[in-house]
Amino acid sequence: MNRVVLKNISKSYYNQKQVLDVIDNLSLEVKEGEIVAIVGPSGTGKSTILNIIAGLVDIDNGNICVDGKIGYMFQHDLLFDWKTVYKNLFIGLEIKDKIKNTDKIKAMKLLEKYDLVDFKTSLPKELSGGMRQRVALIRTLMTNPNILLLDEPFSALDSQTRIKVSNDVYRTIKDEKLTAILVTHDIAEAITLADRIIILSKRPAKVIKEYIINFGDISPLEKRTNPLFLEYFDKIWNDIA
Amino acid sequence: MNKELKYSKMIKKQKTTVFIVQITLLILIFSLWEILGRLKLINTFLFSYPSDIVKIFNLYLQNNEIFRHIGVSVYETILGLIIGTISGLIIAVILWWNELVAKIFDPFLVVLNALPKTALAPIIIIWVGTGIDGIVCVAISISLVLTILSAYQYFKNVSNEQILMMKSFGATKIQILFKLVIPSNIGNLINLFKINIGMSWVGVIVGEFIVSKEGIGYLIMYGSQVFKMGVVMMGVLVLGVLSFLMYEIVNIIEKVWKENRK
Ligand SMILES: Nc1ncnc2c1ncn2[C@@H]1O[C@H](COP(=O)(O)OP(=O)(O)OP(=O)(O)O)[C@@H](O)[C@H]1O
Ligand SMILES: [Mg+2]
Repeated sequence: MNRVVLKNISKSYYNQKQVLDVIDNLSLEVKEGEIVAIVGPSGTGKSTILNIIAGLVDIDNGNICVDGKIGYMFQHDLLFDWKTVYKNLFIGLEIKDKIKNTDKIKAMKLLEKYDLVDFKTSLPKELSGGMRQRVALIRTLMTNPNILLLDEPFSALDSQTRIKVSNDVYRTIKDEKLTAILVTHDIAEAITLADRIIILSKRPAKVIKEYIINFGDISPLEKRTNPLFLEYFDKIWNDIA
Repeated sequence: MNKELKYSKMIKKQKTTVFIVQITLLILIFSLWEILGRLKLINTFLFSYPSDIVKIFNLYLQNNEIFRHIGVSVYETILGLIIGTISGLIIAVILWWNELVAKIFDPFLVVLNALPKTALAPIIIIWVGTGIDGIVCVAISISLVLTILSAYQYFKNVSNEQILMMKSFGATKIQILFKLVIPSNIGNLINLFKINIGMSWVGVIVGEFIVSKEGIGYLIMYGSQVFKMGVVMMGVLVLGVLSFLMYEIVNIIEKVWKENRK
């Protein structure tokens, strides 16, 4: 079953000086439970694609079909610095005006799972980058999405924290059978997390290649030492170069 | 625990030191003024001196005159401050809400902002009246434009990504305003309010200079016209104390509120 279908979509931005064609006749299907990574040069329109799927940006042509509830995790953690960690978790739910007791229990469980219980009443500025990103993840998960849009969510982290947090995210996605679209600059990250990798051209964005990644059921960390890893890496590297 | 204790003790000690030096400085300045006046080293006709000012203050105190003047000026200032700030904020919200309106009014606001508003005071008083309402309007005119421009700028500077995030959760524009744009700027808005205390006082004093039969501005004007520099100095000192008190009250409210917000 497809969770997200984009059919021949196009998008241009207009400003006084020029028309900027960002996406040109792009099609994409994402199946339930699948993790798709989108890799492409800077400024090609990757964030725009996620914004389109999330319904935040209108398209000029084409069709979109989204079946499910979207949770969008942006490039920055975007925590509200005047709210405690705990209160930040409820920003999404608050908007729909329905915080139930079960939500509070869920928040506590997630805080525990991500090792943040001790920082429940801290302000975001008292947290490290990795912790902040985990809070942002929990905030996204609190609304019970079944489609996750991840826009370079780990790019602000150092490589060690990055691998740890992306491991966590991977586990969450697989355990809860979520569908995910992950935008990343990091080829290794794409290979270790995704079931399928889509390589985009320079702007206007078109799909130039697609890779099915198949390691079998092993963790992202284990994939890094698997011989297949280097094979995939070389191929993708050559496409981009 | 021991470290924390030491640290808080150090901070406390530093605070007391600062306070003691500040008080000493004040006492020094006033003593010097008094001594120079008594020794006739400065012209007391022009400068007056503290004990003379205290004498005059006592006189005004005994017939309750001082409270009447203070009451009127404080009333006008608070009214001007609150009306100016609130209407400024409302207009800033409207500009934030509707970009077209913001674009239309932008040049007008910029010109109004550059204009020295005290130049408008006589016109406003002629239009609105010579009573308290005229003076309050002068006070409003001084804080209003600055409030609009600053608050609008603050609102516009809210992270676009945070707005997108709110939208991705399905937030309406009202929710974005009340859950993100205003709360994220509370610190800025409180500072704006503090700046407006000073602005509002300027408006009130200028207004009272032009017309009025009571108020601190009137007192200063009256003193200078009859060459009673003691009265003028007393007016200025009372003004200083009042501004300080108002500022401190806002500071205390801010502190209490910050403690409770978490
Ligand atoms: N709201 C907008 N108005 C005008 N142009 C825009 C807007 N949003 C994005 N663009 C332009 O569209 C192009 C694609 O932007 P987008 O953010 O989708 O790129 P990206 O692939 O995510 O880049 P990066 O990897 O650097 O994050 C860029 O050239 C950008 O300047
Ligand atoms: Mg981007």
